[in-house]
Amino acid sequence: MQSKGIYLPRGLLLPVAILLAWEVAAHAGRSGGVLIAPLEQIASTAFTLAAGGTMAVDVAATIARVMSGFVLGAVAGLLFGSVIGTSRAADWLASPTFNAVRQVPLTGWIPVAALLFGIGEGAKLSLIALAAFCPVALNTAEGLAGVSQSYRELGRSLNFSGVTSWWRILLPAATPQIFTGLKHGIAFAWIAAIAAELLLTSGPGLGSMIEGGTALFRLDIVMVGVCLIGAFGYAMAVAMERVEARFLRWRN
Amino acid sequence: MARALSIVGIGALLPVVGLSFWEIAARAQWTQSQILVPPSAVFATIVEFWQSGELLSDIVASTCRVLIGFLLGGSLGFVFGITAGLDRRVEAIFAPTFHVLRQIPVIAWLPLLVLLAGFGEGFKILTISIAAFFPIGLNTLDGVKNVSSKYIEVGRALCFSRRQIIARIIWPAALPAIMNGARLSLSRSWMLVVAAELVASTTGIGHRMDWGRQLFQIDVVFMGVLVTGCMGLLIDVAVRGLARRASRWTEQA
Repeated sequence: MQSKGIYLPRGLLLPVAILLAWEVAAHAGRSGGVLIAPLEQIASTAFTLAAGGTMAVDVAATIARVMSGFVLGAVAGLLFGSVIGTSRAADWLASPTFNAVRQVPLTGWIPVAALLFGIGEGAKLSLIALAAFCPVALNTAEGLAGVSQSYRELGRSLNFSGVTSWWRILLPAATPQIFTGLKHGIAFAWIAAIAAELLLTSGPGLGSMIEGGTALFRLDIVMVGVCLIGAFGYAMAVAMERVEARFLRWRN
Repeated sequence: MARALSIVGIGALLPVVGLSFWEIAARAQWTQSQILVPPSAVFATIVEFWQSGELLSDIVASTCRVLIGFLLGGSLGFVFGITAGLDRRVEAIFAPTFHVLRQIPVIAWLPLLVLLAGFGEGFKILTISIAAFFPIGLNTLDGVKNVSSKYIEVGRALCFSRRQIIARIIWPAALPAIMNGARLSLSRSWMLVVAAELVASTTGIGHRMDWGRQLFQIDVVFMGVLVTGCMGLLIDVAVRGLARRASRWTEQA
């Protein structure tokens, strides 16, 4: 009990020190032309952006993009992972190609997406979908391949068709690992959205917001954007855990 | 042997069919040829850039950045993980801030780092260091903290000093997690070096891709995709080999 009481103030020590150093550096640098924005300016910028409604527009744009890209990528990953996780022929046929594609870092696809789809919504959605697709497909395939033999036999003895036994037996049995894939998928989708908005600036979004702040040398806008990106990324991860907890209630 | 060959053959089927179709489609100009160049043209571009030495210097530039950034950020993360994992006071002070900061995707730091460090080499190294810092820091912290208390009891029963417990019990027990963190750190570093070079660079494989994009030379862009993929794979295989050696003790049990 007591150790918990001490834990929090100690944990606040470092942030307070950093913020103090930041504030001192900002005020000391004013005359020297250094562009570190003081905290009160960052706070007032955050307030202005929030009150003016542009913050909500940017946040909503990014979240909408992540959601649609994630759903596309996750559904495709679930289907693809199911096919290579249940059919050995499909596994041999498609897994080497999938694993080769997976090796390319996400950022490496950005110029390709830009050339093929331009810098608009299509390029961003395809990048986000790809980011979500890979971990979901991988974990679905591994999860399904790992379902115990006795469960499979149950399906056969109940005369389930392939699709029924996939839906009623294999998929539920693999749910824990599929959720591992979904959790990675949403995290990667969020990173992909920020990367895509940052490097293919067009339309509203948090990535465009910090990119715009950089172009104007407005460190305050950039800092507000970075905080929002961290906060909403974390909120999405937490939301995914909540969904997982609901789905996996049967385990406890 | 024949079975292994047939598996490889089946795996090669999809790329071969896909690439042939792509080659035919590009040659027959079913699409705008400037957008979809045939694979043979991509291959010719790779040969051309390899012979001129430009490809090698791009790879070397990016790899050097990754290694320097990884060594800086990775060793800092390692030191953080070890000290915070062993000492509760250090953990209490640093861990909460660490856990908040690691929620922010490294890519979101890019504009800030550009503003603070400019477009030079420092900004790229800094970006990669941050990318390398968090996974290895987190895995080291968790690895050290999660060493089974049974192992430590054994050490106490054998009258090990604190130093011996750390060197002979905690270190080997945490090593697999640490190596896993190093692997994640390296793959993040590789992703971020490409991003940093796309944003601002005059050398490196990311810069080459951005250059190809601006000139609408998709063969150059695809060369970049192939190279980044191969380098990512190479790094991953190398670290995985090291990681397997580090966790060999777990298999003996």
